[in-house]
Order: sequence, then C-alpha cells, then structure tokens
Amino acid sequence: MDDGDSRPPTRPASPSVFVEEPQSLLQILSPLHRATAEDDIRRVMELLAAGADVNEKATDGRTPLHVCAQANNTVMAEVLLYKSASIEVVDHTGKDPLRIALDTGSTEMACLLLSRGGPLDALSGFIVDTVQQEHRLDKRLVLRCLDFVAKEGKEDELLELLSTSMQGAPVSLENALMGILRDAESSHNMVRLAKSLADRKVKIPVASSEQPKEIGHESDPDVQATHTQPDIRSLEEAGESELVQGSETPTKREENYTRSLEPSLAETPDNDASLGIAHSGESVQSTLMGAKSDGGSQILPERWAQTKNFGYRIDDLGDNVAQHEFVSLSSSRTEPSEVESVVYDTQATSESRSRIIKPDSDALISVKAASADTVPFDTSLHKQFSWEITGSEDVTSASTIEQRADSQQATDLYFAAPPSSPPPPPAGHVFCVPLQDLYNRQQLPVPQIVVDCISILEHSANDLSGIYQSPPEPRLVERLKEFVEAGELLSKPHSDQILISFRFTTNGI
Amino acid sequence: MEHRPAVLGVLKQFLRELPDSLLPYDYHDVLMELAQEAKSICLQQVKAIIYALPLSHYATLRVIMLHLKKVSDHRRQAAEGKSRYRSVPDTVYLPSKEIEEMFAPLLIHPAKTTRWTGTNSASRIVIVDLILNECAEFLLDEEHGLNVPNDPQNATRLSLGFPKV
Repeated sequence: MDDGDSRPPTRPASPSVFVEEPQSLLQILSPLHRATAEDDIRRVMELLAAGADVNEKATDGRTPLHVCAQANNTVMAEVLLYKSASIEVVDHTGKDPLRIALDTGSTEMACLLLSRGGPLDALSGFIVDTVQQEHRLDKRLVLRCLDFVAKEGKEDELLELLSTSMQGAPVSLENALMGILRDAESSHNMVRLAKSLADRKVKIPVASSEQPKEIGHESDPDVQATHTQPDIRSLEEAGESELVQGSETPTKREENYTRSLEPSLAETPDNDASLGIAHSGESVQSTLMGAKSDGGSQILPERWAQTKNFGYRIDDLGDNVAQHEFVSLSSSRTEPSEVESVVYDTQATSESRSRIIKPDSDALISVKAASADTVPFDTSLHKQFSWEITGSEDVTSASTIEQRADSQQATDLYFAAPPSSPPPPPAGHVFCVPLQDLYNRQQLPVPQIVVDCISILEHSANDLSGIYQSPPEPRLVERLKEFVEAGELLSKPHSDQILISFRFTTNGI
Repeated sequence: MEHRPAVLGVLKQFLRELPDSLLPYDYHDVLMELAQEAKSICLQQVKAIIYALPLSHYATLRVIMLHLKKVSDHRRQAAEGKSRYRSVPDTVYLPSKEIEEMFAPLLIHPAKTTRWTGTNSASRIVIVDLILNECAEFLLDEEHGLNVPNDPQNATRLSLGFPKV
C-alpha cells in the first residue's frame, strides 16, 4: 500500500511509563516496584530485608526485574538477582526481562541477564522478530549477544531454537539472518556459530521457486558418479602439468586442490589419517593463500586464518563426520532443493553458476574460494569415515564424496552470499535517484515531479485536506509512477490544466 | 474518479524511494538527539541544519513544507467551520499530528545503521512538527524566493539567494 503510515508498525505502547510517568502510575505499583523505578537501592534493600517478595507482580504482570530491564539499570538488576529474583518470569504480554532488555536495546543488561541464565528463547525470538526490519534491528546489540552466547558455549542451544523457529519461515528471513551471522565473522566463535547454522540450513529442505534443469542428475547418485569421475581425472592430469599457483580462474584453483589432496589420500589409506588430513588441509590452505594474494577475491585474511584454525579443531571433526553423513543421505533423496540446484549447476561451468546465483558478482569468487578451503579437508575426512564403514573405496563412495564436497560448497555459499541488494536504478529515471542527480539533470532545485504533484494537489483548494484523508488507489499510483518514469509531465507548466485528468482517469483503471 | 489521492501517493512514493532522505542520513542521529532537547535549543539547531542542507534538499523541503502548511491551515479552517456548524470540539476534526505523522518517515528516513533503534518515530514527528509549525517564517521568507512551486524563475532566484553550502 502507499500510505505514509503503512510502514512497519511501531512497537506497541512503550512500557517505559514506569520511568517516565512516576506520578500517575506508580500509585498502583508495589513499594518495591516504586523503589526500583526510582533507583533507590537502599529502599529496595530495606524492603527486601523486611520481607517484600522480590518476584512481586504489578498490575501488568511485571516484576521489579522487568522494571530494571526497561530502565537499563544493571546495578539494581544485580541486587535483585542476588536476592534470587526469577529471571524467567513473563509479564502479561509474554515477555521476560531479557526480551525487554533486548527491545529497549540495552546491551549491558542483555548480557547480564544472559550470563545469569536468561532463557535463550527470548534472544532467538527477538532475533527472528526483528531481523527482517532493518530500521528496527540493532545489529551491534544482536552481535554482542550472539558473541556472548558463543563465549558461554551455549550456541548449540541457541541454534536449536533458531532453526526450529526458522522452519517454514520465508527465505528472505533466512537470508537476513545469514547476513547478520556473516557480519559476525570478526570473532572466532561467531565463525563457528554461523557455519554451523549454515550447515543446519542444508538439512532443512528449502522450498525452491524455480526448478533446475539438472533434477535428473541429483535423483540418481550413480549417474552423478559416472558423470563426475572423468572430470576429476582430467583435472588431476591437468593439475600435474599446471604449476601456476596464483591462477585466477576457479577451475585452475580446483586443480590445485585436487593435486594437493591427491597424495595425502593415496598415502594414508588407514584410519590414523588425522595427520594426513591436517597436512593436506595445510597445503591447500597455503596454495589458496597464494592464489588469493594474486587473485583479489574479497575474503578477509582473518577469515582465512580463522577457518584454518577452525579446521584443525578435533571436536569439530566429529561434528563434521556426523553431519556429513546426514548431508550425503539427504542429498540422495529425490526431493530437490534450491541448494542442490545451485550445486549441480556449478559442476557444469562456473559461468552458469554465476548466472543462477547473482550475475557479475565478485562474491562468487569468494564463495568459490571459501568453499574450496574446506572441500579437500572434508573430502579426505569423509574418506576416512567411509573406510571405517565399508573398508573399501568404490564408485559410490566417490559419488558421495562429490556430493559431500558440493554440499559443503552449498553451505559455504549460503555463508558467504551477500544479502540481496537492490540493483542500481538505470539512468534517466526519477524514482530512487539522489536529489542532487535530479538537480544536475533537470537544472531545477526542486524535482519536476514534486512541483507537478503539489500543483495538482493545490489546484483546487476546496478539499485540500480531504485528499489527505482518502487512501489512494494502489494501481493508479503504480500507473502514475510508470508514467513519470517514462519522462512525462503530470501537469503542464504555468497552467491550471491537469494532463493527468484525461490521460489517466479515462484509461479504465 | 478522484485522482489526486493517487498523485499524493506518487509524491509520497517518490520521497520514500529517495536514496538519501530529504533530511539526510548524516543529520539523522543529530536530529534524533535534538528531539529530546528543549524546544528553543532544538529550533535553533534545526534551523542551522536546514540552512546547511544541499540546495536541492533545501528547495524541495521548502516546497513540501509550504504545501503542508497550506494543507494544515486549510484543515484548521475546515475544522473550525465544521465545529461552528455542528458545535463539536475542534479536536474531533483536527487530529493534530496526522500530517506530521504521515510525512515524518518520508522526510527523515529511518536510518539503516544508527544507534537509534526502535521507537524513534516519535522523535521524527517532533522534528517535522517543529519544522512545519515553527520554521514557517523563514521558509516563507521572501528573500529566499520561490513561493510558487512551478515557477522556474522563482526557482532560479532561490538558487541565487541561497547560502553557500
């Protein structure tokens, strides 16, 4: 709709009345609430010592801790928590103190409550509620909280909550969330958090709007295997002769991976392959670093270092194996997902991939590179895993390796893909253009469209204010907008005649 | 068919889709802070900010504010007439801040990266209300020209009499 007031609704009536209007409302509150709102620690202590209930609820169901969270009064909150105030109590709107602190935007209070066992579902609820509304979302607050959760080692719990609430959520919401997590890559903990969320995402089948052409491939792993096997060989052969490390094209990079991966796979067929894994991972990392410095992809060096460290952690190995198995199972299922469509297209050419995901985007190279550093590592890992299970290396395991590698690519692709940015408006348009550009083009300080609109609006002064009360017809607004974008004038200059009246209203709208 | 609501819709759409709002992002946080201040300080600072705006922003803001002033005056007169006729209080016909509420998010876009989160719409309304009702005398100031929106000569006069950015 096209009304100024149809923006996302503002938050419901603020409960800050506790603080802002003490005279009118505190009368119905308990003495403890009042003392809390007035930041009178001595009085609070006296009341508590005299036997006041620290979890006493006001008429709206709020406890003194709610009041503290609203007022961002961490000192008082410490006192109340020391007096064993309940942190999980909810008010009549279903909000606990942590949620109120998050809504208020006070980071210290949120971290304090999180550290005292504040329920994580409040945080996940807050993230899901606000992640899509950019103007309401305080990224720093969310990032600080996520970082804090990661430090406390509770990220798995949070991820569980997030992924359950993400089920059935629109893709745009997921992308927004991934954008947030991607921003958090400055911290090591957050890389882990974001990555594992990205891995989880693959498990959740994504409802895709467009069906890929390669559906036939993914429903049959054997076909896939026979299809990919020669590719690997040719790549290996090419890699033997190719010694350039700083090559820019993705295919050449792949050659490097397969080359460095190949010896470690061949030499360590037994189970204590962890050394070999680390070794191959390292060599690939070094070649990648070389490629990166020459190539100019957009990944930050710290990120590389972090992923590298991340790859060596033993406890992560276990996770990868487990989830790895899961992914290879899920990808052999027949139901197609958006992720897999992207993945299988990448196998054909890199150009086609860039066409599907995002045209002319540098991020693709970084996606490629980001996925590449983990692919050989995980592949060898999977080899170890399948050896344990089957004890032999055959065509099907090769196919699962391929799928595994591709799934990893897909997750990293989610991980590294930027949130959708609007394409720049073409030149010559009126909407979405900076005022200064319009000024330079039209040589009028006031854009023509504004002048037109206002002169039409003021044409007859009879019902000037009435216009502001009747809602516009959205289709007509769209038509008018196209009209303006086509370079037409809405009204003739210096005249009372309104072109629009006979060019539009007779058009059957 | 009444087409003018749609024209108003187009105008609002245009303002909404400006990459930088009429009161630019650079001033967003300052304005939001000012909204908390006392009215006299706020007025002074807002005037300074308006004078420091780029020419195109200043001129467009001026035209729009003149128009809104007209609308609110018209509305007040209509309300008085109606209230005299029906002998009901003015407030029934004059929801005082309706225009300000409608245009506040259009003139001051909610910034994407700011420490002001959540309910700053009230602050925006305060600022727009201030510009509309208190800055009228200098918006209407003849020495800056441009009283008729569609007069190009006046527009050029405006650009001459405008203070340097």
